[in-house]
Amino acid sequence: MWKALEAALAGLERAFLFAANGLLLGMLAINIANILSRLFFDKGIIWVFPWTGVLFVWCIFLGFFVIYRRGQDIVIDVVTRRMASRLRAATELVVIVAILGLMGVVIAQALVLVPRQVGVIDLVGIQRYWLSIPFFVSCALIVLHFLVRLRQVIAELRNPKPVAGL
Amino acid sequence: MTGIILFSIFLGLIALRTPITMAIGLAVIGALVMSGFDDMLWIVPMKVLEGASNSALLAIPFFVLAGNLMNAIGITERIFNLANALVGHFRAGLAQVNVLASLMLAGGTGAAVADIAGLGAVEIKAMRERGYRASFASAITVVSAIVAPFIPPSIPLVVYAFLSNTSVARMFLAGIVPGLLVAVALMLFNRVLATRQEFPTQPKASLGEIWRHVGSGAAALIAPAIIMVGILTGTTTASEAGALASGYILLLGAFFRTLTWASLTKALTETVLITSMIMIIIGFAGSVGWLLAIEQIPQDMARALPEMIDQRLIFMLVVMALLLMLGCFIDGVTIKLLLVPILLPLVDAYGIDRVHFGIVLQMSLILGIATPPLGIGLFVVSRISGAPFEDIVRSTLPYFIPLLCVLTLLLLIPDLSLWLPNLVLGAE
Repeated sequence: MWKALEAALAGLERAFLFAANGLLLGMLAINIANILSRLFFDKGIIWVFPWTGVLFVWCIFLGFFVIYRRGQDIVIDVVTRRMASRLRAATELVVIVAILGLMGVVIAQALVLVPRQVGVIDLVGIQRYWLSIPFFVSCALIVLHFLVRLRQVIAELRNPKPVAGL
Repeated sequence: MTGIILFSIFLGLIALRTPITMAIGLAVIGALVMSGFDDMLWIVPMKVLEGASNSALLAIPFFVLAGNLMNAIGITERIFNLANALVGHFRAGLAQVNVLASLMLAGGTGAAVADIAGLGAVEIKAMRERGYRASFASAITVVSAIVAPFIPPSIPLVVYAFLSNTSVARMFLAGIVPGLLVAVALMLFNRVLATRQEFPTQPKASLGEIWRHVGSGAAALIAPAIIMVGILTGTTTASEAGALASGYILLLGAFFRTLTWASLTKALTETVLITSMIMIIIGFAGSVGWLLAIEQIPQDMARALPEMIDQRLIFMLVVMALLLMLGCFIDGVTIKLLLVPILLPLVDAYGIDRVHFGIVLQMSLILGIATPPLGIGLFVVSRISGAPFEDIVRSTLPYFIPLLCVLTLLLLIPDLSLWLPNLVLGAE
């Protein structure tokens, strides 16, 4: 089950990154089209600005999950790198549990927030809550990612790696 | 009390190797619960959504993309060759080339780490081939990258403009003189070093050679010009100017035949990851700002601190020392997001210009990329050059003499930051 979950997360990571890259490219294309339209036809494309905002929000939220899959968030290991491997693993376990708690709180607030985000976005034509859906989906996937990592850390704690030379 | 809880949880968590974004989120949730706002936890995701959909920050992905595209299509090498043709024959020639190339590339990347990652490999390779020590080549690469966040389009200055409610154009113009000042100070210091150490020399480039490199290298310098002209003339918004600059660099890549699907994908991926991280940090930090405002912490400090510190200069010195210290441990954008909402009422209370303060703040924070134990620039350059971290730190330390001199000048002479924006946009 865990292998299947890890494979699914890896696949979703690729899909999210592909989609986020596509959204960024789309933002670039429509903005250049708008500038060229103003330059050559003296007429702006009025839906470009609101759509750029929507694509940007989706791009960020899809990227949120990818950041954690690729370990790209900033971490400071000046304290933990001096710890023994078992203590370091125990610290990571605490951090993972805290992150799972944070993501749990955030996801639980979807029930409060999503119903409040009503109304159609001007010139885009979609309901406002569609902006936040990718964020909550990313949060849920981050939970799954850290559950996989939690299992690995527990395994490390149960079977610590022998130190070289001993 | 809320502020103390918030910052204690945050610092405790990052010491335990919690990712910074998550540490901010956890700290704010902890502070909300402990302050009795446990029925208001929805504020956290709501602020993330608000931060992400803030149109003032729409320029960030395009500015980041422009820098990443420059690196991906090999513009950096052309810029290095142009700088080499111009100043390579000076004493400590390649060290001077390193500074000039960073100044030229800054207009494309606007971020110090992107500058190190982009130019570092080219510069360090060339310097080592010509007999420079790897640690010295790494050190000058890191400190010269400090120019990047001052030259438009600067991502840190966009973030500050958003936080302080100042104009992006004004902040961009305010950064130009300080950026040039950093470059001149570093070049003068290189010259001083060259009188005490023997550096390899190289012949002066002929006019023909210079002209050839101007042809290919100078094309890259048009990108920041597009951004500045677009914004200042009102022809484009800041985000459209970034999009136009990115489009221009794509055209350059096609013209130079260096644009490939792989290089484009790499640039897009790096842009998505950097932008997402900045924006999510901004989102979580938004709840911090909300909590501090509800608890009236900045206002209380603005009332109390001027009674304790009656001189504006001493206040600035205290803030500068705090930022220099924090910059050694925490990333600059994070510090800015956490502290600017607290400091701004104080800045206003002391009658300090927000633009001037932003430049001093930026200079204090950016030095953190070159300071141990956590200078991100030192880690990146160490990975590129393979030189030991400790050796790079030793070679970097002397450069803090010119850099701290520039910081002091920026602190004492507000006109170094304000003269150009006041000249172009009029005084506020």
